Order: sequence, then C-alpha cells, then structure tokens
Amino acid sequence: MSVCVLIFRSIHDVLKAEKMMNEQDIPLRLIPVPKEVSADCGMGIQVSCEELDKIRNLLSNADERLLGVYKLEGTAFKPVREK
Amino acid sequence: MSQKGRLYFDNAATSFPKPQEVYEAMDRYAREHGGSAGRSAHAQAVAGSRLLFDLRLSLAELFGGNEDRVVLTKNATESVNLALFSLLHEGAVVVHSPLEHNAVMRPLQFLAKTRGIKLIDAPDDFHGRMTPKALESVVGKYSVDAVVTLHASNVHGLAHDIAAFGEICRRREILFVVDAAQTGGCMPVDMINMNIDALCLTGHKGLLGPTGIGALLLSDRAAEKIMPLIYGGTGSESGKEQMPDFLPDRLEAGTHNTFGASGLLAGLQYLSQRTVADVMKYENELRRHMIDRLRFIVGVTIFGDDIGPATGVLGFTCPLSPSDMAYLLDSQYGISVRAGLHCAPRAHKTLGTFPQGAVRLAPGPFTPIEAVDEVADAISDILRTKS
Repeated sequence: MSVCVLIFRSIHDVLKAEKMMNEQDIPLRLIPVPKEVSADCGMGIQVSCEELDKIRNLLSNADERLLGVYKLEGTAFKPVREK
Repeated sequence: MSQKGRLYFDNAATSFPKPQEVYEAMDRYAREHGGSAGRSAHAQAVAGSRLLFDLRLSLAELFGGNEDRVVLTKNATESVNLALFSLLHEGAVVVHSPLEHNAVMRPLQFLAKTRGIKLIDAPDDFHGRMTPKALESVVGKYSVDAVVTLHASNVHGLAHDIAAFGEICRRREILFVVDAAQTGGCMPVDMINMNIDALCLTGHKGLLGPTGIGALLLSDRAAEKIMPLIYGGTGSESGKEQMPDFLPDRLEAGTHNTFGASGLLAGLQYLSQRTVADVMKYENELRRHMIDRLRFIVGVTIFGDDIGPATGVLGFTCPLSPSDMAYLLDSQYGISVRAGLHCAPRAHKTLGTFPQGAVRLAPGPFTPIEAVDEVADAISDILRTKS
C-alpha cells in the first residue's frame, strides 16, 4: 500500500472530508501536516493512494476544499497531479 | 447566594436552569480538553475543532441549514449586525416589523444615518405584528431590498408568519433576515422552507446553552456576499495578511468560545431528544394557564392574549408600575421577572406601553405548571395590598 496525504483549506474542511469518507468506509487517519507540505491548518488526512480516485469522486462537489494530494516517496512527500 | 426555592420567569432573557447535561459537558470540556479549536494538530486542539464541527452540524440539522454556512458568533445581536452591516448596501430599502428589538433597530438606525438606507415600519395588526398581507402591500408599493424581522416578540411572545414572509421575499428576490433569538429551540424554524437568507440565533435562550455563544446561518446567496465585522487570525491561510475567502473562516477571526460551544452542543442534544415540538407544546400550555389565571386579576391588562403561534412569553401591565411590580415579586416572593422596555422601545410604542413598559413573564421548558399559580397568586396579593 502506498501512503498519500490530503491537504485542505481549513480544519473545518478536513473534518467535513473525514465525515464524508467515514460514511463511505474509506480507511483514513488524521495526521499533522508533513513538513514538506505547506498548509497552515496543521492537519491532513492520510489515506491509501489506491483510494484516490474514489476520494476525488466523493469530494468532487466540494473540490475547492482539497488543496492538494501528496504521496510518500522514500522519506519525502511529493505532490500528486490529478490524472 | 443560592437561588433555591426561587421561581425563575425570565427565560426570554436567559434560560435557567439548563439541562444537567449542559453543566456536565462544559465542566468536562474545560477539564479534559481546553485547546484552541482550528489552530493545531495536537489532540486537545483537535478535540476543540471537532466540537465546533459537531456544533455546526447540530445547528444545521435543527434549522435546515448547511454546516459550511453556520457562522459562530457571541449572540443573536452580533449575528444581526454581521448580516446587516455587510448585506445592506448604500440606500437599500428595508422593511421591518413594528415589534423589533434594539438588536435590529439600532444597527438599522445607524445604517440609515451612515449609509442612507430607508426604513419602512410595516403596518401592524391588533397585537403589533406585521401580517403577510401588510408585507405584501408594502413590497408592492416600494422597491424593497430587504425584510428584517424578529420571529416572535420578546415582549408578548406572539410570532410572525415567517414562512409566508419568506415566500413573499422569494418571489421578489428580497433578502430575508430573521432574528430568531426568542424562537430558536422553542418553535420550529426551517431556513429552506421559510426561504431565510440570514437566520440570527443565540445559544443562551431556547437553545439552552450558556451566554456568549450564538450563530448566524446563511443561505447560499447571502454567504457569497457577506463580509466580516472583525478581522484577525483564523488558523487557516496564515501566510496571508488578508482574511480567507471561504466560510466559516472568513467570518470567524479570533479564538472561539469553545467552553460556550460545548454547553450549546449539549443543549442542542437535549433538544433533539425532547424535540422542539414538545417544548413548544409545553410552553404554550404554560402560556395558556398564565392567561387563564391573569385575566381574572382585577387591574391586569395582558398583552399577547391571542390564539396564534407563540412562545411561552406573556406581557402585562397593572395599576402598579412595572418596575414596582417586578421589585415586589423579587423581594417578597422570590420570583424573577423582567420589567420595563425589554430593549424593545419600538415594540412598546406599537403596543402603547412606552415609556413605562410592561412586566414580562417568561417560563421555560423546566417550569412546573404549579409555578404559574404561585406567580399569579403573588401578583394578585401584591395588587390587593399595594394598589
């Protein structure tokens, strides 16, 4: 499993996304935003990268909330471009 | 000093007592969490963030709103100011009811002076209410930009037909701002069915929370236009020296009242169990009983004695001044009521009770029915001996 982190505009948006993903039984974990990623709300959502399509689809009505997606490569997080 | 044995009839100002769960939730939050919501990722801050999120969800559920557009304020007054100051443009034509509280009248009068907005006091019915027919005729005559009204009067408890007003506003694309300080938690309010653009609420009355926390719920179109009253840190977009443009952060600068939020959330949870419909039914029984008792006391004139949607609130005058009656009820019988103008000079002018005001009886969801008899007996005793 590869690890991805979702970054949002605010903690309200993080918690809203968490609720939507919980309702779809998507496994997730709230984490402090990794140091390579600049997002000052402080919290991100760690998910399996395999779930990204499903998550993007789920959040598509609220996509302005999702500021970015980062993937763990080695020891650093790198941005993931939308397909 | 303990308040034990007293009868509290001032729930229209602040509800008392609160459900036991409210005291417990505030105590627990203060002792176990206590972090700054929305600011950090440590467990105590996240607990605060979750609390605010859950509070927004609960408010949105109870009032038919969307949690993204639930703005937390300190009370209904702040919510009204936030809405009016940014949604009323220069020269806007605004209709208000003849029963308004100063929470609405003072910002409106200030904006009339500074922004040239034009105020139209809609004609009233026998009890001072604005009727849908009166509103219809006003909006037919003038090019109205906004209707700003309270839901129920804080002086006599009678309610406006908000759903009918909302329908009139929807048809003509008029901004509809509702001050539901008196009705949130004790009468049903639904933003969508009532076409409300800005719903102004406070937590410390019918919603059974503590003082110092309130909310403004916004429609989509109001949310697009609204601007902050105060500016500062939000925990989001901290690299920028401008406010974020998204809600709720755009309107919530500064650290939140999380203690208040914990109590308010517990109040809302109590209400969702008991239901607003049950509270309304119970308070109307109390109201009916107050009317039945007071109408037989010689010298008492009741305001709001009418069949129609109402809260539990009732106003009356008598041969004694309202302040003397309130003083005697307090000092000799241990009964808390509010006398005077109730921050609503406009309503008292409409009802013909300005400037001396009236005595207001405001029981709450925990007032036993027998307490009404004790209050009526006390009023009767006082009038027999003092007047």
